Amino acid sequence: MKTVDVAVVGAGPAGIAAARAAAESGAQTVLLDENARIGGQLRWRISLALEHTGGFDIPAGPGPDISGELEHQLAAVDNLTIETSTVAWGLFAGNVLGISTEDAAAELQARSIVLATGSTDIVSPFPGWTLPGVMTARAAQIFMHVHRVLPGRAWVILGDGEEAAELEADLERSGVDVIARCADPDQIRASGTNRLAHVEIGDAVYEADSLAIALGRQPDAELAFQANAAGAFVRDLGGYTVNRDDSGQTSEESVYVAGDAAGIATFDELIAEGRVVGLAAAGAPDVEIATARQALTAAGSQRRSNAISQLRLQAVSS
Amino acid sequence: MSEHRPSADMQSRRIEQHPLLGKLAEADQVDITVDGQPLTAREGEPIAAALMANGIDICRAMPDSGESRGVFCGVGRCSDCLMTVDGLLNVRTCVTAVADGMRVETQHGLGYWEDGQP
Amino acid sequence: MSGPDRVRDYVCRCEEIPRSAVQQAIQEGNVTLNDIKRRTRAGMGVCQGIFCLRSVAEMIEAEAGVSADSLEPMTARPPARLVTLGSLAALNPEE
Ligand code: FES
Repeated sequence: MKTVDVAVVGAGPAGIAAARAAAESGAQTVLLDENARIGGQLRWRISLALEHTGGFDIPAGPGPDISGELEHQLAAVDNLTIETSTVAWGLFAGNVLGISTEDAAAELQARSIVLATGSTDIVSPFPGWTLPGVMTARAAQIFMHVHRVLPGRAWVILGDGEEAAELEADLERSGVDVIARCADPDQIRASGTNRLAHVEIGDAVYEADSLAIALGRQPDAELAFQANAAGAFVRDLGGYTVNRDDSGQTSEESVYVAGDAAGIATFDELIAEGRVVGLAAAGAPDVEIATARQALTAAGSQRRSNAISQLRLQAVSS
Repeated sequence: MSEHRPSADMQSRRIEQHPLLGKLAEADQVDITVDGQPLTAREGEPIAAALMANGIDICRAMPDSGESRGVFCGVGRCSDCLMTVDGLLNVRTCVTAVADGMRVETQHGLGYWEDGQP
Repeated sequence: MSGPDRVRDYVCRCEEIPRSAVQQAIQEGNVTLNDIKRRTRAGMGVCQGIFCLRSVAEMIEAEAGVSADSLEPMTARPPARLVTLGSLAALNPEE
């Protein structure tokens, strides 16, 4: 079985920051991602990417090759190996990851494991939500921005938060109409014979070929829960969230979680937290970790840190 | 399957120009078939994207109800986009790239292996 | 094939579990996520509950008054993704 110092799962903003920090402090580091290109949510949340790529020194402006730029930057980092198109599907005793490429499976053991597995879209069932044409906001963004295909032309958006506004702007940039928005999953009904044709919101009926569920995002640290890490449901972090110490370590020794997977965060928090966790996972000197932690406090929002404190209390009491 | 034939008036769903992402890069063409119908795809794109660009939104029929499903999560998590590809069942078409000569088929229920065994 | 007006009100997409089945299970006294999963199969599909766990928790809260915040998540088991059996067969299960 192959063994490394640090294995980072997920090459989004937090995972990249963690892997880079770990490798730069001398740990042999592997960064895994299930997609063919690195970048995670920066690949499909293009408005976010364009506002914030300063954190990665990517030139802003139309047509940036975000994955290419990140690949270029990471190529210069010693001790770092990137494995794309590689799914980490299991986390077993002894810090062993089960990983698969398209045609082979393997095990990878690491002294420390950093899960930077990001988020999943929150969905809420409503009549007709299984019809083709109904999809998550993320699916809509990925098809438009990564695959460059329009899933449909007449859209209804379910949701009224930031994600809904972000998607509406994305759809308009792609030149399609948002014909209605609905805040409440209990008020919406989709119908059609073999695919979506109509959306009812309250008493109003719209002809629509697409409906995006944009109700926000929830942390996705499934591998941590496979490893029996403790967690709790904390609304302000987005949902079921794994409990961690100040270094990002879970209740399972040497299993760390960073970024959205530990509670939905801003871009600046993702980068700053990835760095703290990467250094801790690599066993970097305490002073370096302390400095990174100060940067995280400066970048962090009060809301997220309060929610993390609440999670710790809940974890202690259960 | 008639449900798979793109309707004649379907405009292309490719996003050729995008205000932030610029012009769609050139890509080599790949020929695949979907339920026997020939279809052209862009090299490297997922099967579901090639289908969607050609007006096909239905990937499978569910085992219990027979109801149609298409792309829902787009990231390989939900199983709504499962199709039979080159005889292999349960392929997640939203995260599996096209290849020249690929045979893609709507998956009915849990699907059948090519020798007819469920 | 289903008719045009057939209402498809599923909670769990993967296993096609209707809302009514989950409601009934809650009324029968299943008020944890794992109980609901065992009773109805909701959350047993490929998505491992990621797309229905929250809705089931909210239904338990609404129907049985158990706060969603106090519910333990469903037990997570590998694989976290749909991986082919062929590729897994190459692994030594003892490890
Ligand atoms: S659309 Fe969900 S797995 Fe492909």
